[in-house]
This record gives sequence, structure tokens and C-alpha cells, in this order.
Amino acid sequence: MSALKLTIDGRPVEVAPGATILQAARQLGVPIPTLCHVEGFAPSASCFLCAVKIEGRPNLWPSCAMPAADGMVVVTQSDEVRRARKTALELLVSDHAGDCVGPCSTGCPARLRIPDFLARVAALDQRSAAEIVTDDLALPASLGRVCPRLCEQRCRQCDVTEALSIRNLHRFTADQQRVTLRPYVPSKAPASGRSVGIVGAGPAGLAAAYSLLRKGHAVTLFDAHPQPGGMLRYGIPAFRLPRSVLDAEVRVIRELGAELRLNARLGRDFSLADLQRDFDAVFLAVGAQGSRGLGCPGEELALPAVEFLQQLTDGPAPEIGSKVVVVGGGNTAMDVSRCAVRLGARSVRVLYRRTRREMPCLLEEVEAAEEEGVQVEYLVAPTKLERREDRLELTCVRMELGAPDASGRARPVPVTGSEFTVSASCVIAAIGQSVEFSSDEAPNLAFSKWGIAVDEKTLATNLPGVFAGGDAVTGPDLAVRAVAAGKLAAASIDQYLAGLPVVGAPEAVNVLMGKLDEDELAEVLRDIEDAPRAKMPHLPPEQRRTTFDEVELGFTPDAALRESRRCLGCGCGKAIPCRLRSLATEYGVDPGRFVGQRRHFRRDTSHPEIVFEPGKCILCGVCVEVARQAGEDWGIAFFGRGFDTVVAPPLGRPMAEAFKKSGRRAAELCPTGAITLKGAGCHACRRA
Amino acid sequence: MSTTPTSPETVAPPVDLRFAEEALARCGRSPDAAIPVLQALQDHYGYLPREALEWVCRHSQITPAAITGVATFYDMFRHAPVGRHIVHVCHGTACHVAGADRVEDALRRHLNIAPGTHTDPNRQFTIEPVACLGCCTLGPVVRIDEETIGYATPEKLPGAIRDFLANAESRARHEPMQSAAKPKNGAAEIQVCLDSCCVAKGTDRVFRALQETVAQTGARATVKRVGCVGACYRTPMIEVLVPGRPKIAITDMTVSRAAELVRTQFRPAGPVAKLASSWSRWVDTLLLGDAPVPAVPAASPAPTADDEAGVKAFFGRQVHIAMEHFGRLDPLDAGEFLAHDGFVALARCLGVPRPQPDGQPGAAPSGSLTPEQIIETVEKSGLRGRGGAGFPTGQKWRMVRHQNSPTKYVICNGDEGDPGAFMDRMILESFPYRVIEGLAIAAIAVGAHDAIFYIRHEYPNALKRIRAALAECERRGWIGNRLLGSDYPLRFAIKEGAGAFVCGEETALIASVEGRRGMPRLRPPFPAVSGLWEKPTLINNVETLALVPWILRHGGEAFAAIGTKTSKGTKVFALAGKIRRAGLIEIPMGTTLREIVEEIGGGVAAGRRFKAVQIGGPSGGCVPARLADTPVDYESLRDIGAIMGSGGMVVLDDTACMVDLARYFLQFTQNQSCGKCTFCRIGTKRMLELLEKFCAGKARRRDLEELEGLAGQIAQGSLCGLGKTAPNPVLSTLRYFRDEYEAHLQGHCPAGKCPALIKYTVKNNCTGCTLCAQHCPVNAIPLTPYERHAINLDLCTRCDTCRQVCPYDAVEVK
Repeated sequence: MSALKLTIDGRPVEVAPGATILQAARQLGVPIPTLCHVEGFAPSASCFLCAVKIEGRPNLWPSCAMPAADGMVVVTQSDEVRRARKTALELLVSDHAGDCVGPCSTGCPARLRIPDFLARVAALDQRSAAEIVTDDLALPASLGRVCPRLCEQRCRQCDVTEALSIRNLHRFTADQQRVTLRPYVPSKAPASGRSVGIVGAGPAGLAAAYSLLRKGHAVTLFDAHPQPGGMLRYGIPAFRLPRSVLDAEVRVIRELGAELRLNARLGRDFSLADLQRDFDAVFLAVGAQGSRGLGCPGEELALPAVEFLQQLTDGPAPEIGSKVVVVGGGNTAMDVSRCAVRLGARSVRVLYRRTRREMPCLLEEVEAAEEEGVQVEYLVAPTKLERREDRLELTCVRMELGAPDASGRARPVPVTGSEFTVSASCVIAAIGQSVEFSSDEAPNLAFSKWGIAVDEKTLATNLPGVFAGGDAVTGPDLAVRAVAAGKLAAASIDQYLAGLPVVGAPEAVNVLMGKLDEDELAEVLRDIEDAPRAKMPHLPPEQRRTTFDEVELGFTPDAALRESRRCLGCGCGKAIPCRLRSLATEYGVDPGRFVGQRRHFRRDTSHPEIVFEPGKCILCGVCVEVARQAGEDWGIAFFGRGFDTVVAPPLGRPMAEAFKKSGRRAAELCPTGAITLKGAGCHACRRA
Repeated sequence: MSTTPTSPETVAPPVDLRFAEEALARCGRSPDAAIPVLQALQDHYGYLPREALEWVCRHSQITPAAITGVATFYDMFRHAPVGRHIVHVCHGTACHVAGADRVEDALRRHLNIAPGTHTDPNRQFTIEPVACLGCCTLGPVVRIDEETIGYATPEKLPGAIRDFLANAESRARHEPMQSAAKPKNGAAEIQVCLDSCCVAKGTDRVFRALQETVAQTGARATVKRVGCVGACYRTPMIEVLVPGRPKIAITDMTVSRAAELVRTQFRPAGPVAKLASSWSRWVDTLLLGDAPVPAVPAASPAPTADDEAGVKAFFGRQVHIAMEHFGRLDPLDAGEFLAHDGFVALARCLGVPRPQPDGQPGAAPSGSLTPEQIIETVEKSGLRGRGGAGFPTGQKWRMVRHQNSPTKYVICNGDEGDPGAFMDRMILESFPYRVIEGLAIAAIAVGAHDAIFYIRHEYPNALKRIRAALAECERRGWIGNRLLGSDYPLRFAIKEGAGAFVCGEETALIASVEGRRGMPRLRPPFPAVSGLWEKPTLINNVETLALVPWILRHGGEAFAAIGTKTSKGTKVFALAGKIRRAGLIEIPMGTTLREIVEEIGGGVAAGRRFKAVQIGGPSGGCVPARLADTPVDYESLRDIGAIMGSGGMVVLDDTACMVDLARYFLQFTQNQSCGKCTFCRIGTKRMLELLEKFCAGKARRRDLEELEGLAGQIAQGSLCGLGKTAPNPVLSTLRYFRDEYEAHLQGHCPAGKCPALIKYTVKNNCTGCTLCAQHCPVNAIPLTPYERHAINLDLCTRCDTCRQVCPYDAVEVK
């Protein structure tokens, strides 16, 4: 029989009769995505990812099963085809009972691989835990102390007992590196011959430096301050982040080869043009060092919190007297008030215009401050600050909560006639920071209403080779976001330096199961001990008032081990090789497009070699066929019909009997995380 | 019933496995015996005990994976012990429109079956929803074991169940046979249809009563079982044929009236001299005088008492080819079949003499046809597949003929799954020999020696008739190694479906016959080239085959002379829904929908407005009343967004909510999806969820856009016809009734149907008679005699009972 001649995407190909369009495309090297297809298996035509358009015929056709015909004209990449594939993926993902990565990781702005490192801690493998933690986020010991732990808000243990103490375990892992005999030393690529100038040695700049140095580039960090660290040093007091810890983290970066030029200010000591000339790329991470005033007459008489902390750090300690009033309600206000206590002030009051519930800082910080003797007052706002002979006089008015404002929080409204005065030796304004950087310092650079204008995906500014990130772009924000920005900028800069298209670090699609129902939670909790959240030991309050020593003492190895074992191991062991996920990423899938009924989450770890999670199954039938080919006595079967179909061992047999000989092969060929090899990344394994 | 691989609902009694061996011995041990074995096991045990399944796997070639896959795919298989009686509640289109949901609720309440379970605590009754029982003109339909109950409204149910239990012992298990004697000179013949839906109305009891009374009184009359007349709206009826007189139909027949009739009208000396139409009018007066006032308006319009004009209008346009000799022949009387041109065509195709009724050899045939000539005749006729797709039949036969293979198969597709369609059931029950003849002709034309009837198990009577007809053919030596005495061997087999709408699709049907899950595969390759056991296979619909003998006898041109340019011949439709005259009709292609609805069907009930016709079942579309002048023709219907379909035609009036209807159809297709391909399995589910949002008044504008977009993509990206056409009801209602979707976006249901969007209130003309409060099944109306009653909307389930019982029309639905 003569060969068949057909055209695929305009290119001719000849195949033997009986070949499918997919085989013809593969012969030609034209890529067509597949999920349910296995070379050598009879085509399933189930997933429809391989859909193609055939000219002259309506609808789309599954190329894995469609026989090639003479004269066929096939299109594999039109808009229509791509839209169909995207929808197919969005449908599959909407019926997927699994999280690609733990919800905690998706909550972290830097996407720290939390369940992974916790599994290592639980397995007493501190070194691997440190490797993950350090690779994903520079400055782990610092972040492990000051991050407001967005991850913990998403922890599934919240639905059971309390969230995992993730930040403290992060800190524990980082701290272990300073006491261990074999610390993790990050690797470094050979020198690339390229150099990068970074302005700002704060979290964003340091993180970018760390990444760039490991990629082999030369890095010089400029900072206007006498010491590196940015807001980590100058915005956070030592009792929360000890200087020695921060210094050790900076030392790691120095040891990687960073050059530090301190007391050097952009605009005063050097210009942006200088940097553009002297370096192959520039990263602006100057932060938001400016302070916002009280917003009332006499505001210039108040000491800005940032200045206060800066003086405290570099010396000499500021003179604040014995009666200190702090205006504000965020972390900085709390930090500043607690510093004032340690500096000997007998009375430290914090005045906040809203209520405790609306305070932007963490509740534990307010509690810690109050334990140390700080008085926090709510619904108070300043109206006037005046200097008297020997003191300051702050006129305040009481507030009450009215209708919500743009941020959704209730808007405070002054109560007329409720003015009162407060006298103080020092009034510190901790209202918030602002970006103190404008086109004066950098002409030609574009700015947005918050800070430096950048492309969100790549952090590139309007000037070629100049990138920016951190508070300088977003306005005052969290340290962890600055670190994430530094990492992203490093990826973009690395691409720029290599002459590649700059795309940043596009994230893979993440499917999230959301809230689990009772049965599903029971599945996940099956091998987890019921234990309360470990408590972080503190220095006693009386002791704290007199010293800047670290207040939180850190977990003991025992406590850390027990706490890490509370982790439910969310996230999928096949998150990286999963073909459903990689295709979903390739086609820009929106996992939230279809919200409706989905399969149940089930996890079966009873088989010696494989983990079975039928909630992730796409019903491709490959495992059924693998078992059949292997001649298994029981094998695995389809149950039910339609949407409710699941795959399970027949007649109530356990998985171990279903796959006596072909378990590994099933795991290797399964296109999703429904069947995975134990030990290949699934965190359920450590318990099985 | 679907199952998950966990423990069954109730504790199973210990299982005696001897029957499992019997089942294997009877059905075979090869993989394709899976479905028959499972059916035999369930017949015996009432469900499928796990031990029995394990036993089967150990003693046959059926693997555990295979048996599990098959046992959980098909609807009929139960995995938990059931009650003594199985109650099937039909949810077909006509039944849905007649309120099947409320019927099921009422049944559950009455039988004390808790939500989420299927069996009552005393294990007396198990309730099973069923897609369609094929008795659509009697909607809502309930079947308890083998007893079908038509018009089974919630009010009628308690009485019906009481009757069922009372008659349990006296219920005849076997169909009564025809009187042996032919009518003697002057004797009358009383004809009674014993097809499924007439039996559901009690004609089997009428038949026996007539026979008994005739025997008792020695009346000069015989009672004859006949096939379907098609005028379902007049049933239960009998027809009396007195030689020399026109046939008279007597409607509203009951057992007591039947006995009365024989006693008063058929004296031993002979029939009453004046058996004229005036007599039947007197009889009607007698009957109507007795008729009880229904407590609740009947679900179907009351049969118009011998409305001659109506009968003329009903039959006027009909041309009976598939239904030739309708209502006259005993379906299982082989002799009568022969006397009415039976096997003339088949004999000619074989070049053998026709068999004679008395068994004597017949005269030489009037010519013979080669297979090529047979195919040419069918091609000339323009016959197109009547199952719904409308593929040219001659072309299909030619394709199979051309395949070079000693083994070929022909299959009669009797898996009529469209809810609202029951034409094929009627043809199989009323004309079994005709279909056998058509199938045999097809086999000769393509060169097949194995013919298979694939009939859904929800049609037990059709299965019985075909089995009996084939047994008779075998007994007379007409089939087997020598077809009609020729050299052509033709073996027949019957395969029962097990409850899966998707098995109407050719490749899924083949999978089912091969003992696998009924999951379609891609076509090409087509079954004509590679089908059953990878051999060339011809699959044709029942009605298609029933037309073949006539075409072969009268010639292709005669068939092509009827109909339109592209749609030739006649089509049988099951006309049901909100129509005065419901039934089975056979009309020439090209008849308009308006002619069908208004002339044949008599229009909708007084006071209601004709809104649309749903045609083509769950793959079809709704044609709005303003387009009712569209002719019934494959292409004309396709152009307006509907399809011909298999023949289900449901008439809708202004009480129908088109969004709810779309949701109903999608619920059906979603439930019946085999689950293989992504767009159908998950896409239809997401579409259904969107429609449910509409019906609950929770949809947003972007949901409307998503619904429309997704509908288009599912149609494009599905593997088989089920998925490809599942969006049709949505797309067609969006096209013609978009305003209803818009109204639902605003939280308003214009037809007053969607429970979440309607409120029942008592108007101020309430007299406080307390009837509503007494009848409310959920006690949502406190009893306040002589005062205006009020309905607690939190408890109200929108069952409509209060509105129906209120004598003052004081209940308002908004």
C-alpha cells in the first residue's frame, strides 16, 4: 500500500497507511501536546489536548487517534485550537483534588517551598532543609524573625488546631546553620565576566546580590548608610533582629564576592549615569526611607520613627526623656515604643486613631509591647503639636468609627469637643514611610504614583539595563516582598546579561483545592499526631525592659522536630514533572475559571512503592492498561460512569494487591500526581 | 445507580453461590458474556453481591477489572440489597414536563424512604429514577416491578401502591395468549392492544375480562390481541370489528365495562343487529355517566369521547409504512403476518418461494434480487437512518458490502434512549416480524450471516415479543442455517442493553456487545469497515429496518415519491407533552410542525398558549411557535437549530420554562456521559452548574457568556455524538428564548416554574375551607378555618398541590 501524503502546519509529510496524525506530526517534529497518550498504547482520545483542526471538516479532532488520510491538511496551532486546549486544561484543573504546592507556599510572596523544608526538618535532615530555605530566600535568619508570616494564614492546620509555626521553623533552620559543623554553602557558577551595580544594601538589594553572585556575576552594593541591611538594620530594633544575626547573613553575601561601598548616596556621591557606564546592569533598591509627618500643625517638632531607629543603630542613642508618646499603629510604632522602654523612658504611650482590630501590626507585637509596659490607646488622633518650655504638648481628639473608607476599614471620625492634651518629652511619628527618591536623583527614570515605575513581570524600568524593586517601587511594604523582588530582578538581569529575552521568572500554574471537607481533612490528618502549636519561648518581660537582647529565644531542636511533624504535607510530589501542570502553565490557564463540584481528595499510601491520590486522576486509563499488560491478578479498574468515574482496585482490594508488579511503571506513566513514586517528592512518604 | 468502591448501603444477607455457576453455564465464560452474566445474577439475587462477582472472576475469563468496570457503568446494576419491590420513576421529557420531580418526592415521602437512601427501613420498596420508560403519553409514569402505572400523579400514588400490593398474587406473570379460534361467520372480533403503554392503562386486565366473559356467556365474539393504533390519547380503548360494518372504537375501557359490554351487546345468537355509531354514543353516555370526577385534574387532557372530527384530524395526514396494518395484526401471529405480505420482500431477495401460512410450499417467487439490486433499491428510495443522524441507508449498506470479509454483522439498534421517544418500542412490540424481515434483508444485502438485536432492557415487553417471534421463526425453520429455506445461513441473537443512553451510539453499542464499558471510540474507522470484533458491521435503527420490506415490495421510487427533496418517505413521531391528542404518528416528510401540532395533535389545552416544540430529544432543539411552519425535513430542521432526532416530539405551552428545560436535558446528558473525554465529562457538568445557577436566580451576566462559549467548545471538542450534541438544547433555547435567560438573570422566572424563583401565596378570595392545609405534604400551611390561609415559604417545596386542590383558584404562583 502506498504512503499517505498530508500537510501539517503547511509542511508536507509522508506516512504509512494506518498512521495517526500524531505519529505524522512527531515524524515531522511538529509538537502536539498530549496527556493521556502513551507511545505504543492504543490511543485513548480522552484528554483532547492533542486536538487539531482538519481543513474541510467541522469541529476538532484528537490527533492521537485520527488516522492520517491522503491529502489531509492539518493545523495544529491556530487560535481556535489553542483556545480549545486551554479550555480543556481549565476543565481538567477544575476537577482536580490536589494542590500543586502547599497553600502556604502560594501565600508566600517569594514562594518558599515550605512543605518541602518542613519535611526535611521532620526527617532530621537540617542541611537539606537549609538548602531549600537558603536557595529560595536569601536572608533566612532575618526573615525567620521579622516576616509577618502570610504563609501561616493559609496553613491547613488552621482548620484543625492552629497553623504551623512556619516562620519560627524557618528561623530555626537558618539558625542551625550557624551552630552546625557542616553548614550548607551555596554553590557558585563560574565568573561570567559581567558586573551589576546595586543601589541599596537592604533586603531587596542583598537578595539580588545573593542570586546574581551565585550565577557568576560580579556585584557591587552601594548604600547611603554606614552599615548594610537597609530597613532590616535601620527599621527593626535589635531585640527583634540581633545585629550579629544580620551581620552573619551579610557576611555570607560578602563571602560570595560582593563588594560593599557604604556611605555612598545616589545623587550626591554618584549618579545613575555613572552606574550605567560602570556596570553592565543596574538594580535600584533604595527603599522607602522617607517619613510621613503627623499631618497637623507642629509636625516638624515630632521625631520621625525612621530617624529615631537610625540614630539608635548608628549611635549616639537619641535623647527621648522619660515621657514618650508614639503616634501610629504599625510594626514601627510598636518597635519604637519598645525601644523607648529600653532606653529608660518611664512612660511610653502609643496613640492610634483606629481600634485594636484595625491595627496593621501583628497582634503578638502589641501584646509584647504591653507586656513591657507600653500603654496603647485607641481612637486617638493628634491635632496640634506645640513646644512648651521644657516639654512638648500634643493636642489630641478622640475618634469614633464611621463608615468604611477605600481600604475597607472603618473610617475614624473625630468626636467634637473631646480634645485633650498630652505632654511628652518626645513625640515620635510612626505614621508610615514614603519613597524618598525622585527624578532629582535619577533624571530620565520613569516613576509611578508609588515609586519607580517597572514592568511587573520583569522589574525592568524604562531605561535599558536598569531594574528596580522593593519598597522603592511599591512604597513601604514587607521585607519578604523585597527579598522576592530581589530574586526576581536577579533572574531578569541574568537574562539581560546573557542577551536572552527578559521574561522574569514566570510562575507555574498552581491548582489549589481550597477548603477540605470533613472526610478529606480526615484523609490528610490520618498519620499526623494531634498536638498543639509549639510556643516560642520569650525572655521574661521584666528582663526585656532593660536590654536590647533578642526577645524570642528560638525553638529547641526537640520543639522544632515536634512542630515540623504537625505539617500535613500539602502539595504534590509530582509538582515538577506533572504534565498537566506544565501544559497548564504553557497555555496560560486560569485555574479559577470554572468553579464547581470536584473530585474528592483521597490519599492511599498503603502500597509499598507508590502513593495513590485518585482525586488528581484525569481518567486517561493508562494505569488500567499498564496493569492489564503486566497481567496483574487484580489490576485497577474504572468505577462508575461520567463525571463520577474514579479509578480504584476492583472488588475492594487494597492498592498493594492491585499493582503487584507494575506499580513503578504506573507511577512513571501517570501524567499527573495521581500515582507517584514514594520518596520522589511527596511529603506523605515520610509517614508511610 | 452509581456506586463508589466502599461498603454497600445495608448489611447484605449471606449469598448462595450456586446460582453464580448456573449463570456462567448459561451465558458463557468468555469476556463478552459479562453483561448477560451480570444481568442473570441480578435477576436472581436482586443485586450484585460481591461474593458472586468474585466467584465469576475465578471461574471465567472475565477479569476483576473488567467485571467491575462493566458492573458500575450501566444504570441497571445494583450493588446493595434492595427492597422486595423496585419502583422505577420515569424522568423522560414528557414525564418531566408532567411533574416527575414532584412524583418522586411524593413517592419518597409516602414510602418513607429517607433522602440520600433508596430503600425504606422495612426493605419493602426501593426507588430508582429511570431515564425513560417509553410510555410518554401517560406521563408521569411509575413502574413497580413489571406493573406500569400511567398518570401517576402524587394524589394517585397511595391508591396505586395499595392496589399493587393487593393484586400481588393475582398478577399474571405471562402475557395472555390470543384466542385460538378465528372469528366464525358473523362473529365479531374485539381487538385489544397489549403493547406496553396500553397495558400500563390496564388493557391486559380488560383483555382477560373480555375473554372470561365471552367464555362464560358463549358470546359470538373472539378477543384478539393487536398492535399499536397510535392514538394514545384515546386509550385504553378497544375496537370492535363486525363483518360488513366499519370498525368501531370504544374508549375509556375498564374491566367492569368490558364485562358489561360483552354481556349486554353480544348475545349468543349473534351480535346485536344495530351495532351502529349511535350505539357507541349510547355506550359513551353510559361510560361518562360512571366516570368519577377526578380529585385533581388529570395529567393528560381527558380523552374526547369519540370525537369523530378529532379522529379524522389525527389520522388524516398519516401515511403508514413502518406502521402498515397498524392496529389490525396480532404482533405474534406468524400466519397473519404472512397473510399481509409478510416475507414477500425477503423471499424475493433470496429468490425462494414465500412460506405459506399453512406450511405448504408457496408459489415460485416473482423474481429475485441480487444484493447489488437490493442496495440500489434502497439508494433510490432515499431512505436515511431514522435513529437521528439521517445518514443515507443505501450508502451505509454499500460501504459494508464492499468490505472484503467472510464475517460480517448486522445489528438492529433498539437502544432507543431519547427520553420522550417510544417509536422503536412500539415497532418492536407491534411488528416484530417486520423488523426481523428488514434485518434479514439488510444481512443479505451486505453479506452478513449473523444478525443481532440490541434492545434496551427498559423495554421488557419488546424483548419478549422479539424473543417470541424469533422462537417462532426458528420453530418453523425460517431462520438459522437456511433462511426461508434458501442456502443463505442467518443466525439471530439478542443482546440486552444494561442501562446507558450512550450505547445508542454505534461504537459504544459495539463495546457493550463485546462485554465492555459502553465507551465510544473515534470514528474513523467506521463500524462499516471495522465494527463488532473488528469485523465490518452494519448498524441500523429499528424504524429504518421496518421501512425496508415495504420499499423492497413497492420499489425505491414509490418511497421517494413521498416526502421532500432531501428527506424521503415517512417518519414515525412520538407526539407528547401539552397536546390534546398525543400518540404515535407516521407522517410524510415535509409535513409542517404546525400541521402536526394543530391538526393532528389538536393543539394545546384551552386557556394555554402553544409555545414551542422540543424535537430531537436531548440532542435536539426547541422550535418556537412562530417557526411552526417549518417542514419536518432533515435539513430544514437543522437550519433552525434543531434536529430530526429519533422522533421524540414534545409540545410545550406557556407553563414551560425554557431555561429549566435546557437544564433538564443537560442533566440527562451529563448523567449519561460515559466520562471518557474532557469536554463532555467535565464541560457538561460545568454547563449544568451554570444552568442551575440560572434556575436558582444566582447567575451573573458573565455566566451567560461563559455558558454560550462553553457550549460551542463542547460541541467542537467531544469524541461522540452525545457530547457534540449535548449543548444543543442550550444553544437553541438561547437562540429563541434568550429573554427567559435574561429574566432569570434578574431573578425572575417568566413561566412560573423554577422553584427558587416562584412564590406561592394565597389570594384574598380564600374562603378558609382548609383544603390546601389538609393536603400540603410538608405542613407549610397552618389550618385556619374560615380565615385566609397563609403559606410558609420557608417550608414550601413548590409541589403545586395547594393550587391544584383549591376549589376557588385562590392560590397564586408568581
